[in-house]
Amino acid sequence: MPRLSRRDLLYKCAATGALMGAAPFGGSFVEALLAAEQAAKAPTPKNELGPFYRRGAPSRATLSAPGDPGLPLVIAGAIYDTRGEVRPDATLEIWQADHLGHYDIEGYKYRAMITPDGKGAYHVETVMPGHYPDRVAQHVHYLVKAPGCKPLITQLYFGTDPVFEGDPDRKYMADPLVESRELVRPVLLTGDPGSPIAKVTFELCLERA
Amino acid sequence: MRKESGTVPNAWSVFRSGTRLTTGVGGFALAAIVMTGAAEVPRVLSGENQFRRFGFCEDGRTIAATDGKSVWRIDWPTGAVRAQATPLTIERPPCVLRALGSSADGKWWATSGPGGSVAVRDASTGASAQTLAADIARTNGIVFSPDGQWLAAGGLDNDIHVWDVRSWRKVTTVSALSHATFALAWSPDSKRLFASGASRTVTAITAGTWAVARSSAPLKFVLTDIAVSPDGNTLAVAGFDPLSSALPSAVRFLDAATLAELRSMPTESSVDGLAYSPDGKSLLAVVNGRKGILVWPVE
Repeated sequence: MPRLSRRDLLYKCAATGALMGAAPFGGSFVEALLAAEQAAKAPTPKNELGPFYRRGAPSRATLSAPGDPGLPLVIAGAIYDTRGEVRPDATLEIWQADHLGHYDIEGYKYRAMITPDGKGAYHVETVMPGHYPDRVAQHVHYLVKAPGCKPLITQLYFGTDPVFEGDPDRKYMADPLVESRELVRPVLLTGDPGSPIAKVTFELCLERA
Repeated sequence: MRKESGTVPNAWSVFRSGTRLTTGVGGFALAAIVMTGAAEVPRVLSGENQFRRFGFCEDGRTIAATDGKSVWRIDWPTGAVRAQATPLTIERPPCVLRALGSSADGKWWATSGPGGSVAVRDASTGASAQTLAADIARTNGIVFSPDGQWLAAGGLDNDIHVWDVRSWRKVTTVSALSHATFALAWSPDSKRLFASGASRTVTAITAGTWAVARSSAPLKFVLTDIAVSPDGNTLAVAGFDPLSSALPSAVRFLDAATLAELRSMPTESSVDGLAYSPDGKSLLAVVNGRKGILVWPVE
């Protein structure tokens, strides 16, 4: 018996009216359904909120101050929901340790509230976080909210982190809190060799409520 | 190794972070403390076991302590282990443990539930009674008020939640804080709720109005434990050094009314659990890396 593809099955169901009661419906509906299915995205894996979240972070896209020590880091991406729709109405809260691995728990250094642009894109300028004591991997915390979606709590990790020994595919669990390989992102070094800038793309997908 | 974050879904755990400091030399750690200028060596109860949490049972003569897997029942004040350890279970408390989520009448047992909720169970049967939505990530410091009227829970998203126990209706969400809460404790008269956490401060909240009455000056450590003396006059607080900067660990004593620091008591390592004895004459603690429950006399 030939195996039906998902597309074939949908057309077959449309033809027999079996997909939704007895009402027959044309190919355009099925095409729309297929397009929606193709556009659908998997939600970004969740990760721990951590103990140092602080509400009230200032709105800004630049977390570091001029002259801050550490490797300059630019994080960029876009925010979607699981239907594949961009979410310019989302808000991101980002927080991280400084280059020495210390969190500012008195103020809001390396903490920000970010609103994406009209295309759901965001852009952050900061420094590569250091290794927090007793925590294995460098990381940046995210709390992302959008109307109609579940809050996303996750963390971004870096493929260049020495703890992954150059092989994050196999070594990402070197930090037991890194539960998903997907959260370990490649790092592109750009700029002058004497003053490199690290760039990371981190796309976020919110699960619809 | 302790982690920055993790999920242990029961009231026996408390959010932990920081670095393990001194754990002793040659298998024996001298837990020298300095209080009012004099060094004292604490008495050790059940020194064979590495406990993570403990609390006094409502009878005042039994301590229930866990290593995360089993529960020991220890006689107070002799320190004799009463019986063989039993497996730790999330469904039922080993006794009425008010500091760790039992209601004063012993009817309810509240623990951190999935998705940042608070899970309330019938303490005698273990049956689920309520799932109370609270934090977006995780609840900590779940405690019933001594008068049985309120249930409070802090959490990582900076809010503190209070429910009316008679109806399980949410009474308030205290959103005046801007740090994660790791520990909550009620005054004996149920009129004050004390909160501590990543702020490194202790905040007193007035029951009923749920307004912040006052906050202490920032202490040196992120605070993960609060114990209120039985007379309600003193708080003992402890935690960990978030910067691992080799600051000496300590239990700090605060005036419960003013939240002014009265004195401190250095410990060899960070403290993982605190309790006053029922007569208020001893302070008990579990110290990271140290076996047993340490007991110091206090004034």
